[in-house]
Amino acid sequence: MAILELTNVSYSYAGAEPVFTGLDWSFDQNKLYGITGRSGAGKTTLLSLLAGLTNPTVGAVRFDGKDLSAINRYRYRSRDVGVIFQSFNLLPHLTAVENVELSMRASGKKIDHKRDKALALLNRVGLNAELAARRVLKLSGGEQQRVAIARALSYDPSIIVADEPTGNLDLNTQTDIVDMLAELADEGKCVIIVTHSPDVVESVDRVYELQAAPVRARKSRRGAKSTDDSGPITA
Amino acid sequence: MLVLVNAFKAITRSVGRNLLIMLIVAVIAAASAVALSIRHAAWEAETSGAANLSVTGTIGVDRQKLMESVPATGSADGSDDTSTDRTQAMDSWREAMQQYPDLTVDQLRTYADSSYVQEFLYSSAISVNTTGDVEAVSTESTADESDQDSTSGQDQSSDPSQGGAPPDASGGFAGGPTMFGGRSMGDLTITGYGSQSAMTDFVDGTKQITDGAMVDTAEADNTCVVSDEFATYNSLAVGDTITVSNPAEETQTYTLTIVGLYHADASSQTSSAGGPIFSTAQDSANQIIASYPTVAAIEEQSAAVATDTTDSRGQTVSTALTGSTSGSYVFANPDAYHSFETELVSKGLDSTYVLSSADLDSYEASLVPLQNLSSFASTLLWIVLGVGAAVLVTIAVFSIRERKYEVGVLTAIGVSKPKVALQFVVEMFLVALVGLVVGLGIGAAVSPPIAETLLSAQVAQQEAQTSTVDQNFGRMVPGAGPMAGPGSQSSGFGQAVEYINQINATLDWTVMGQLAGIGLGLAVVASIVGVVFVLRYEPLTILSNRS
Repeated sequence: MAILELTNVSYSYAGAEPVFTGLDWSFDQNKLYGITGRSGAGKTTLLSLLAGLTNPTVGAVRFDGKDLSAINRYRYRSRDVGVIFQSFNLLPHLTAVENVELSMRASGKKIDHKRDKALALLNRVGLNAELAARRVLKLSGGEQQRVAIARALSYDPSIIVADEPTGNLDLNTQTDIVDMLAELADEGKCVIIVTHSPDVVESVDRVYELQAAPVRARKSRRGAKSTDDSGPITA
Repeated sequence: MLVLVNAFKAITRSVGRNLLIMLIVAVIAAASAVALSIRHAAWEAETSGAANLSVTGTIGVDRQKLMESVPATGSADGSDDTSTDRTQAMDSWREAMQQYPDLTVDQLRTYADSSYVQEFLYSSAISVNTTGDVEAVSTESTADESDQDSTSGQDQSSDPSQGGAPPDASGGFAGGPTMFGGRSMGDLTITGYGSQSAMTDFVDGTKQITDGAMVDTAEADNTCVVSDEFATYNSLAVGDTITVSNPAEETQTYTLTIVGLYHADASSQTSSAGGPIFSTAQDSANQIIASYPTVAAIEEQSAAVATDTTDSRGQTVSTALTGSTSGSYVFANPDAYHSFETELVSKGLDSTYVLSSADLDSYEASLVPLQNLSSFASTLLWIVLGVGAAVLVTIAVFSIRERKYEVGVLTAIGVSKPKVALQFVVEMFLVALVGLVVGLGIGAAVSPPIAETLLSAQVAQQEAQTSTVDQNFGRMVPGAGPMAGPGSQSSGFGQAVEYINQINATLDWTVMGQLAGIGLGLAVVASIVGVVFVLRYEPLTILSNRS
């Protein structure tokens, strides 16, 4: 069973035309997904739906078979989904490691030795102890992106949603980040990347392309890694 | 844990803002501590004073009301010739006074049957003349001895043929039966008491038995107790008898046996009421103490042989000895007094009669500066709280708007809105707590001196105000009377008011509890703003706007 499902999902802002309509997508664990689309197609809005930050106007987003609008979305956000925002959304008055620890505490999960685990996570994303102890405003964009990734991973969610995780990063760092996300998918997580980058699209298992309407899907080029090679996905 | 950790980090992060909030709370707390401690101390002083105050009340004619019922003097056309109107008014006034005489002891006793009355004290005083070699004590006459070679008291009493005359230089009333208050005025006053409790001078210790014993207040045995001054003046001792006569009818005599001598702390030439002396009968040395039944028996015997005459004004005057009766009720506290006042109405006491209490009036007057201070403290408290709350709410509004992004991030990563709101509340409470403790310390230190200073100012203001009123009415200037002293002030006709001029405005547990409540209330008010904002914020909106 898909861990995350969109069923006939439409979304429109108050008094405006729908941003997208009729999305019937599903996301499995152990896969890396890419969501693409032109600017204004509603990629970030869709990410907000997947992250449980808002509810669809029509249809349902289901996590593990349960409609997100019917469950405690705070719990979902703090334990089941890790979101890497495009603008990072880190707390500037905290250090990198404190931002990661904050998410651990917010999850309510019993996590021992939070500081050590946070440092280990930051180290995994390429930030040493010295950088980890800095306030995030004193880190570069790439470093803040890494902190955001570490924070998303800190409470071991089953879904990772990343909004343009490679934007404004140099090529090497982009590659590192995407490899890391692919690694997470290989570890069993469902990783969804909202991106414009063709390089990222090349790396994912499956791509959903978002258009105002209708929506169409095409097969991933990461077929070798995909466990679902049933052909092009249509919406 | 999350809430506490986040709150602590937020507090240490915004040191300046939180110091400002602490300072504001400390100022509010200090000012509130001063105001509350003053209010509390004033309340304690008032309630403990009232609890310990044994009130005595008397029923008398409400002359003010009676006067209002009498037609006003003066001609309607404004002419100068108003003598007829005045005569009519005087007659009406006298008629009204006769219609409402003082209540008798028996009438007063019926009202005394009340659960509010602790004790009923009564007495009757008659004025009599000395006879034979016995003379009333009069130091004034001694001073003029070189001129007159005898005491005026003796002269007055021994020569009843002399008519009534105004007070002369020798003191007292020269001549025979002087009319005072509708009664013949003699040289001595015999007061018959219904009980020993009614002898307030002995109860409070200003008079003491120095020889013999006190009269039996239940017996009409013609015994009496005289002052040691009077006894020495006339070479009298316990066991001797004195014979007194009716000032209006000198042949009518009564003999009393002296069973005791008393000493009065107040010197001779001092009236028993503490005011100026118009007659030797008012001199405390000439006060003879007897039982009420003895005095009542004398009055009865006198009435039996009395004759009526008509004076120049056409008024009927009796030669009977009539006593000036006095009945007072003792109450445990002012509440009982006021309840009794209500009960009197329900028992059908004519509205022309009124219950009054000089000691309660005096007590209430003594509280005026304290009540003014308490009122000032209450006003100060409300102003400080109002302004303080407004400032705190403003800071809270700016603070929460400043931290909108933080709210967005926290809710986006799954911290529930109630938890975020709770974090803001905890922050405000922790900061307010520190401010409260600091303010409490300052308040505790400054409350007593500030309260003392303010109370002194209130007392001085009250004294100045009363002094001005007294001077306007040509009354005695304060400080001249025997009752005058620090914090005392004449109020009305010679009655001194001992203003409460000490206050214990230290912070006790009650005040600290009230302050804690105020601190809590302010923190809640300021926090509610934060809570409302947090609950209104949507993370997606905040983060989208930021992006």
